[in-house]
Amino acid sequence: MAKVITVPRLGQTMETATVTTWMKQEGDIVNKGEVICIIETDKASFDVEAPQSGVLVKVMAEEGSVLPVGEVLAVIAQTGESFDLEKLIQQAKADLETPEAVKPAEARTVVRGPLPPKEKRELKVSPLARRIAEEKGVTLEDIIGTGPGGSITKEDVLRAWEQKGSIPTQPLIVSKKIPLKGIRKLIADRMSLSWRTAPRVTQVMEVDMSEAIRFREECWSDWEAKGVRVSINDILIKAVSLALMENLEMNSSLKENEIEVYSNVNMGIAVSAERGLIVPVLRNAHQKTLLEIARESAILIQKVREGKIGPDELSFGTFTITNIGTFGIDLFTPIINPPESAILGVGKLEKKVKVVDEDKIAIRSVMNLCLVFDHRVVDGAPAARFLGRVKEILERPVQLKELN
Amino acid sequence: MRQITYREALREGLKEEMRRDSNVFLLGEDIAEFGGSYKVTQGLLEEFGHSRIRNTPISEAAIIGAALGASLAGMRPVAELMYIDFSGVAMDQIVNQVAKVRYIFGGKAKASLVIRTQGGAGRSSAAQHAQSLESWFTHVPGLKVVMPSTPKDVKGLIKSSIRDDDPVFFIEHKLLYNEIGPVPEEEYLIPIGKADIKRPGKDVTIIATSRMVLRSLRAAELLTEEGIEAEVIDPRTLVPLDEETIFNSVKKTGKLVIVHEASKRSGYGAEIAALVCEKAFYDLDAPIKRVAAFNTPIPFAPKLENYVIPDEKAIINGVKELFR
Repeated sequence: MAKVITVPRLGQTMETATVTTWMKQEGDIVNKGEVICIIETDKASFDVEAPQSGVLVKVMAEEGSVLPVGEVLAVIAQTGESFDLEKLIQQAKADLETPEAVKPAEARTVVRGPLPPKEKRELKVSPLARRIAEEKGVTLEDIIGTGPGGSITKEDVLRAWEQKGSIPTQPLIVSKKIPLKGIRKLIADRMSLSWRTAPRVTQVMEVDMSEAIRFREECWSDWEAKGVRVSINDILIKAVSLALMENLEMNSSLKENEIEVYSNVNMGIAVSAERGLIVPVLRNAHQKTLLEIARESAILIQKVREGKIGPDELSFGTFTITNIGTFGIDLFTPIINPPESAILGVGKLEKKVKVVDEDKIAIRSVMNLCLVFDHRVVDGAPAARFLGRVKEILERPVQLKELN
Repeated sequence: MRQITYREALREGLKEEMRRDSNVFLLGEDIAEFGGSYKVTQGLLEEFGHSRIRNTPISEAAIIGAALGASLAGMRPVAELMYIDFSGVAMDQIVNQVAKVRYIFGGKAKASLVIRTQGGAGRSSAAQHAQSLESWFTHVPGLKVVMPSTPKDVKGLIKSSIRDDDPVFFIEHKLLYNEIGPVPEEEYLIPIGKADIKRPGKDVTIIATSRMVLRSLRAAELLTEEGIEAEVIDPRTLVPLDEETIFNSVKKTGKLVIVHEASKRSGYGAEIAALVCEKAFYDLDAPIKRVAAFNTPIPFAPKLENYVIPDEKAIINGVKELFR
């Protein structure tokens, strides 16, 4: 039986999706469970799988088009089967629960309308001229062609090249062009929004992690017996969550003319995935034990790496921790993940010679914590108090144990 | 070097091969006492006798079928089709038998024969005696197609064709027989599959076949007055085609004009143009231009006949289109 495939609702907040790539073309035979296309929400990208085997008889959306949830993507039918496309679409729309589903007329234009082509002067260029222009780095757009039909010829390109002063080599060699779309576009938009809007301050504090490491080693066998591996990051999540609960102004968002201060900590964990930076959110971290945090964060990271993270798991963060110390970075100034008010960058953990307890020299494991905060929301002193509290907890991890 | 006609050079080639190899014999309509419609075989009967210069009935299918049979039995026949226009009658023999025999028998049988014929317009021979049908044959795998334009080439190539173990479709032109050109006294061969640069030039490549080679050479001379140095290439054999010579020339000039007397649609020029697009696209500095006959039957009236066949002016105009 013919079946329509619609844009699935992948999270509570999801309204639309962008069709990024068709993995199957109209006329292709598809097997149940095969990925037919990839769509992207404002959070992440997802595979749309064939709900049944058959032939992809109709592809209704072009790559790049933005569709509302429930809009028809494609139709799968059996070979030789006849069906009433309009009826199927009506049925699919009726099945869709959301009452505010888009008006059909509007939806139609969205489906059919390809992105308007960019206005561009049509250039007639001979293949040879184009090749030479590429080799010499000559811009074709400015050349007036003298060849047949006003086409740009080899001679025209060489003339333009000479007039330009014969810059001998191409200044830039483009190896590939990556379209700014999907996750890349999302990251670009959100990072520039943050950069434009948040006046940020960076505070760096060195933390002695020796005790935290000892604590981890002491508990390791206990934890392992429970089947959990607790990372330094998990300890950080726990410590930061505790400190946030004591300094709630750090756990906030600037909304129009007011600051929303949250009483629960949803901790964003920056994860480097193949497609780009993704920040899954560990909900209510403040209520969770270290072991629960370790378990959950492992699952979230795994999901990100496998590309299976859902939009709801990427939403409602209140604070973010980003750790690139593992790459050998000493300190850095991460960009605040909007609409959050602060982000904590974690630097490299390493042994250093330190002066301790009344002028003794000791080898300690230390690292830098880099707090970047939005000065519209938080002032320097409370931010420093918060960071100091994080340091205190990490340097006296017994507090973590009590809550373990 | 001595100057002789295309007809004489061709006859010399046939004669030399018949003297060299007793398996070589000729068959065709009126080729013995009458010497052939265009007198190519005139005088051969006296030297070789009726057993090797064989008149046939007016049946093209029989001529080709007999030649194929003889070749399977070890002979090297040269069969003459009086006009290429008549090849239609023998098409099954040519396409389904001659061209396929070696393949079908897994290489155990050889069709070592030459089919000589002539085509082209220019003598008011009208629609059924003036066509240029070479691309019918270039389209059939299993046939070699040779189309010489000069006395020297026709002699060297008929000799190579007779010695070739595969069937060769050898196309002459009725208006080339009286053309005079230098031909060496000593024996020589011209390999099948090798093009000839008839005139070197740097600005545009003209690929021309058969009689159009002569017209292209005259056009090239006139083009020098416009400051255009055209390179004229005669592929000489269409199958196999000497692609390398063509690509090298296009690489040098960046512009290609193809001239043939066959009507433009589906003519061999389309094949050459497609090859250049596939393999030398980024050497092209202008669109490829084909100068060919109109897609009409060849008219009987001389004025109309001349009108549909490309002349020097048409070639010059074609070239100049690529120079704006």
